[in-house]
Amino acid sequence: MNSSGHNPSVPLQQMSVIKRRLTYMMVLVFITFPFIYLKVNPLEILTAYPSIVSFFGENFFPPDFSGFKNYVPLIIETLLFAVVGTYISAILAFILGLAMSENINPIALVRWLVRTFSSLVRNIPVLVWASLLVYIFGIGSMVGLLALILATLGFLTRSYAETIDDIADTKLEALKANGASPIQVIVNGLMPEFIPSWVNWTLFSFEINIRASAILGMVGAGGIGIMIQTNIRLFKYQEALALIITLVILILLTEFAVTKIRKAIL
Amino acid sequence: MERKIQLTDSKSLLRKILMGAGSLVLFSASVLLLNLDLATFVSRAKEAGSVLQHFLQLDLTDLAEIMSELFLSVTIAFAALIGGTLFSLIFAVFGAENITPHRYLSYFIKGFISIIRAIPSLVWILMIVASMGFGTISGLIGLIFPTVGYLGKSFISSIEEVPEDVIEAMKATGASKIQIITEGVFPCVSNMFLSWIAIRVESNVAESISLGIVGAGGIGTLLTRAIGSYDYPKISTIILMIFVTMLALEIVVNRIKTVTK
Repeated sequence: MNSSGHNPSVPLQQMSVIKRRLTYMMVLVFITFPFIYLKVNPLEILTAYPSIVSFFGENFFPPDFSGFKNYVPLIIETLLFAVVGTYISAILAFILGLAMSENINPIALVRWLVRTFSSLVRNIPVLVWASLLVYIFGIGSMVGLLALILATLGFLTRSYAETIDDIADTKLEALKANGASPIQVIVNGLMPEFIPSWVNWTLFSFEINIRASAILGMVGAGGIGIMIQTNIRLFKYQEALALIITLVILILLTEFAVTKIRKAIL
Repeated sequence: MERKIQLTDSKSLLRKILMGAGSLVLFSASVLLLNLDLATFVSRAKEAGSVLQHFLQLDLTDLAEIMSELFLSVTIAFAALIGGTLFSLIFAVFGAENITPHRYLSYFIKGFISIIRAIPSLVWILMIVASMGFGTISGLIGLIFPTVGYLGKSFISSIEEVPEDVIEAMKATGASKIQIITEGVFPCVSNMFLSWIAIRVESNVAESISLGIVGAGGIGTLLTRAIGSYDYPKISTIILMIFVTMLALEIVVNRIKTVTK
């Protein structure tokens, strides 16, 4: 492949030169197009960082923890929202997952309906859902809870249905052949196999729900998120930073605890 | 002559009942402590039916505007993905423990990335908007942070999974540090990197749309405006277009994931 005879190097890649060049060209177009379309100079992004950092240093530092006593109820509220949201979405998603699974639910129409619903919930961003819910129901904690449930329901339903189908393919045939009733198949055949992944996914969605407290703020439902937003709007950056640090610690602790629980149970 | 054979022994049954009861108590206690505004919600829900009816129509007159704003959102998401990938690659090369120039640098980068990850994207965007004002660039920069948070961590863990023998063998042949990375490590992880990037496409587009709702431009801003002016058909059209875009992305990404596996 190398035309110059003086250089006996063996090319490492095995793709043909034309194909390789074509790929490079496509990648290059793909990379440059967004910046050309947005009329943004990539260097501008790089040069923006120092000014952001200095703005942070001047306005957000040092964090003002003087109101920390008032944060405690907010932290508790965030945790409570996450617990309730996780419970409801885990149970709903399990029922929907059963209804979506080909091996459990024989009615094709219902399966299709659930599949469409799950795809609709999953593929419309949570914040869009949240602003729609606020529009329909007004601001409030119920709307916040609904938004939290929707944040995890879509992907949980799909994951549960996939897991259930995996189990059903291999394990449930034998039970059915033994003459077990559908309920026995689910309770004695499916559940014991399913619980580990149920726990796993549920812990994962708890983590997401803690993070989503920022979204709760958007719909005025309470928790830490709303206070971060309010403080930034009021230019009280130092208090906002204190709240952000609190949220980060809460999220890191949750991550840590979830990993521990996962190791202990599974 | 009939005798019932117990399928589950009583000890594990007791454990199950206890766990069930425990989780029930936790749930009801949390619900009670939250003091949800259920009554107001129910009363509003009764009127919701008539509101929902308004949504059952589409308005295609502004389709061109909707499409161009949607395209803007998607482009911002991709630009942030490209920027974020670049930063993540740099972080990964210096942060993965098996190829880092110094162990403490690796710890530092990993800690930095986990802090970036812990801050929700919405908070990043609020902070960037506070310092730079609204606009495409601030949206783009705000979106780069969560991208780096996700890709940086994934890249590092992929590189750390590269078997030690590969690096060892290359060192033995006298390859330089850069050669080890470009010829030894990257070929091992490139498919995994591609699939991480593909997975991130979906979240980036979703977040770019959400960022518009906060006010940084794109389809989200259009949606907020339509909601503000009670333009039901337009709201439905925008949401339908968002859904179609996200669904198409999901299908493409799943394709890529199975191909790169």
